[in-house]
Amino acid sequence: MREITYAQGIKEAMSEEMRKDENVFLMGEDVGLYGGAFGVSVGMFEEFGEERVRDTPISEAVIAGAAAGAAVTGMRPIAEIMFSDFTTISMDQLVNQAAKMRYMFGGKAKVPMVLRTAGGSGTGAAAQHSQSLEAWFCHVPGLKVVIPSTPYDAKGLLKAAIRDDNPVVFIEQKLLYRKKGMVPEEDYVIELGTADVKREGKDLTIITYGRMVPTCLKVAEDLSKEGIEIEVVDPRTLIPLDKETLIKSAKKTGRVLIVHEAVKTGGFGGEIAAMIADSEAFFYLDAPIKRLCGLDIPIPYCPELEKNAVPTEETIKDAVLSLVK
Amino acid sequence: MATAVIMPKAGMAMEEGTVIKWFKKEGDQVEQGEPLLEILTDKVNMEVEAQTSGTLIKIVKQEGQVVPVTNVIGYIGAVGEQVEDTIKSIEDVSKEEISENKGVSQGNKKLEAVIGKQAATPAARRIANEKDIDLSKIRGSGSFGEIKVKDVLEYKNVSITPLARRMAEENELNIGSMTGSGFDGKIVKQDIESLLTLKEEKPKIAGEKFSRRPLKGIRKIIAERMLQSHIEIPSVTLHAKADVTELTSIREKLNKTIDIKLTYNDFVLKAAACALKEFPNVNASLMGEEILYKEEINIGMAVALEDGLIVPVIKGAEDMSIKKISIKAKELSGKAREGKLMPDDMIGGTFTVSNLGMYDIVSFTPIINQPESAILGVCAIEEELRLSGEKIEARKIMGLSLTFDHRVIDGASGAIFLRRIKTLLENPLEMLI
Repeated sequence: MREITYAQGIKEAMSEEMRKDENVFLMGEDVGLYGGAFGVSVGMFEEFGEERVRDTPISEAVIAGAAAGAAVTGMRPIAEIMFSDFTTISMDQLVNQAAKMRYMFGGKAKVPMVLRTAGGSGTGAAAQHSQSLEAWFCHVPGLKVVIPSTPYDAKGLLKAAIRDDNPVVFIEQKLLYRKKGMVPEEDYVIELGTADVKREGKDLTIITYGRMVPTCLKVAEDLSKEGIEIEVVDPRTLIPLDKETLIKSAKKTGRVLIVHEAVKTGGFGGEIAAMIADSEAFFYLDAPIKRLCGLDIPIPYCPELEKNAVPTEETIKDAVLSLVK
Repeated sequence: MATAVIMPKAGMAMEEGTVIKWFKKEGDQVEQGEPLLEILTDKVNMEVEAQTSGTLIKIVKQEGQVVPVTNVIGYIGAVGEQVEDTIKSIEDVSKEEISENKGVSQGNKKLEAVIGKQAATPAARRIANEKDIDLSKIRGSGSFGEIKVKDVLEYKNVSITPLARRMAEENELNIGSMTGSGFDGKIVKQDIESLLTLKEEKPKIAGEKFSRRPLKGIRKIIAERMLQSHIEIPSVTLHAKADVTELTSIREKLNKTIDIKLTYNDFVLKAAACALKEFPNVNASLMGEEILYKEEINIGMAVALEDGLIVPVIKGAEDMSIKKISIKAKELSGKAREGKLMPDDMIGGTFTVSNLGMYDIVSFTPIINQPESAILGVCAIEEELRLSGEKIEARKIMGLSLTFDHRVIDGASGAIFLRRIKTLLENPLEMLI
């Protein structure tokens, strides 16, 4: 074990899979010589060359479409969309082509592609470069959706995504790229659809993912001093969703707070809340299931407003207290 | 709107209560849970607590007035608030409250009350269901007034006034297993106070082993009544022995032929009824400056309960045959043991018979059940050898102990009365005519 960053974990996952399987390659805007907008693929161009680390034109439709096409021919492309906001341009290729082919060809076609993209606010990149659009993908059967919160999870989940025969949307968190964590040197894979209990507690369950995980863990530590023991559960992959672990935790604590950065209306938190309310955990709930999400507004450019457009330690704390009171 | 204070229904059979004493006068501030007045129900005095805080703006029923249950006896509200003089029962009041208040949420945090529905979390509902607890009896502590798991678990057996609860919380008292002295075992302010007193006293008697029980309920009533009788009445107890050999054989014969089983006590009750008819000075009550000589002969019979005793009354015993007395006595003692006596079954006694014969007691000094003037203690029947002329005979002898109020009954007349009972028991045929 050694300490590496989230970005390094992702790079290691890609590099290791590329060394192992010659069909795996990376494509995207400035992923080559430049090393990617967030420096994730630095050094990969030198190791694997321009055939396998390919710069693309500034066309998200092409990136997604070419990846889907390569995938059905037997390649295992990793396509990078620099900002998740522009996956909207890739949507036709993703939703109508990549997500449908395996089904419409009766299982004869496989689409083993990964669409890597960076999501989330907090970088002062304003409304068109700061969104959290995971709910869009979750609404499309045929796509898998992964949002890792630690370097360990990022590496293990990306390897699983690359080895998966279905299109996987892998949403990285801009604010986590430089965060460090312990990662084993040996090969490991985290199965898609396995949630992780990041912290055990008995009084309340926070279900959260992505960059809200460390924030919630911080709140949990703070409130532990006040005698409130919070369980923090990270589903890690939204599709497939590890319902069992979430329900188990909800039953255990009887109180559920769902925290995500994406806006509340139509957000995936609503799906989680409904899933729990619809399960046997309902009969163990001692408070309404609460969602704490991004405000229903475009992310502001003003740093103060940007910070407060999404859940903060303070608002999470307040939400917890309102439930455990 | 002012809140009505009503005559509580403190028992299934209670139909009316008497206002004994108001602890507050009109215009006084009252706090929720604070004792507001004392009432008399089924011969039991109890305190009525204020159900809300405010000013006692009107006393509708004065001390000494008898009021049907649920009728309004006063109002608590804001200073200067007017209330109607017409007296409404709680049904009318609550109907009005429903039409006035429902549909308007009380503040922004409280749930809008839905009639017949109780706000509770799913977990609270599940647990209440498992424990067979009625949610409508629980106060919700949730921010919307909803019942939470905590409330259900805490409810268990604890019924407590808000004031008492706050006092308990402030003093960190565990009230989990406590039963209060209020209505239906509700824990009231006094219970917490006495618990606190006990707590303070504890160090003084450290090292000794004992358990504590608050003086409350029937035990408290017995204690008060016994002490009062003991203090007020200059009593004299006379002991006599009745030869019940003949009675024993008559009883045996009768029990073979009739459809009920006569007890010795039934004969004593009958003998007492006969004797009281002949001695009206014993069937009397001293009331203030006069002595009331009662025409009806109502004989109370002491029935021992697991914790305490109770004295149901056989009314009109003077005209009852021994069979009738026996049937009535069985009915009343059965009801007493099942806790089904009505207030009516316990009032109006003019004389009491207390039987400890089954415990091999040879004589005792019973305490008079006020406002009666005498009580007959019945003791065990023992085999004795007696001289009959020159012969020694085995006889059955019953001990009798009569305690009487010497203010009302002189020693000689008490002795004559007791001798009359003895004679009747020794010649039982006279009673059967």
